[in-house]
Amino acid sequence: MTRERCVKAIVDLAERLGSIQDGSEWYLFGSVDRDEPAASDIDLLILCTVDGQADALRREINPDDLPLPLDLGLMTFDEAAQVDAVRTQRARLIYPHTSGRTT
Amino acid sequence: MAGSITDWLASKIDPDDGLTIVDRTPEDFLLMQFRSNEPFPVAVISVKDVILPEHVQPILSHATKPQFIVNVPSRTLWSGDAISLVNAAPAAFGTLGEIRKAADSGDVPSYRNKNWDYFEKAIRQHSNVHAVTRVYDEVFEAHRHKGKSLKIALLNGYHVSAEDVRNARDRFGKFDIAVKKSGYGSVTDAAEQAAASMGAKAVTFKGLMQSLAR
Repeated sequence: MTRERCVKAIVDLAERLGSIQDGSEWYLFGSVDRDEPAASDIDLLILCTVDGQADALRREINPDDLPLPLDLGLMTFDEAAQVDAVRTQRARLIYPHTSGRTT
Repeated sequence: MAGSITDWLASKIDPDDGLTIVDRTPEDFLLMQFRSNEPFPVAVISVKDVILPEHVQPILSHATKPQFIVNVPSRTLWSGDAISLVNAAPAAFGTLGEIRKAADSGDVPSYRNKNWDYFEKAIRQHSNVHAVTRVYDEVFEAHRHKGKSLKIALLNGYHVSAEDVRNARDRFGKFDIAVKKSGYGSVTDAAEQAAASMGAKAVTFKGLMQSLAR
């Protein structure tokens, strides 16, 4: 229930942002992704094409637009590959929708 | 954002999370209840950049004291002096999500963010540190026996990225050390380079302890 509500809000946000998020990938992890009843914040990781995109998304994303407080991580694809960020955080792609990779 | 900031926060409370709003006080505090626990007053303020003592003093001077204070927007910084004033009331502060954590603790006014407490204590107990000043909620200044004082920023994130470092610089101003709060994960090479370009370091907890010693 919490996960469904949060994913919808995040996807709506991503779509509202338009072209500044082109090429980025948005991943959910942590208690909301596990749909825990006591989840108190949203852990969101956004992989970006370049530093400038990461900085722009930080500026444009208002954490208070989402149903729960947002813990936002932004990094480039190169950084994510270096630390194996998606696998080590057990993150799941929620945007853009890709069949077989989403939820 | 229609209505008052208190109305907005009230609209965010999800009864499925165990929290309900049972009343409002004449001071416009929300009286919240977690499960069947005793209701507690929550004050909502709306400060944009940095929360200073003069922002919280008026709400702490009412006959009914809030046990928890939330600021909207949540990314606003809390100054060390405002934090001292709130904690001395006694009251707690934090985000919307932390209201539930505080309520769940059974002692709302004594609720403290565990991460901040952990780092403040660790810095304070370092053998080369004689005092710690709270600059903002997530920024401390360590006054050392040997070496200059160091301004330390706490960074969220399982893995700390270059953007985390740049964002910390934007939010907190100049710092000497950016330390990753999580005990898991790592600091990326790009994050270390971003910090170095600012004349700072991006480190793990172990790196913080080593930096305090030098």
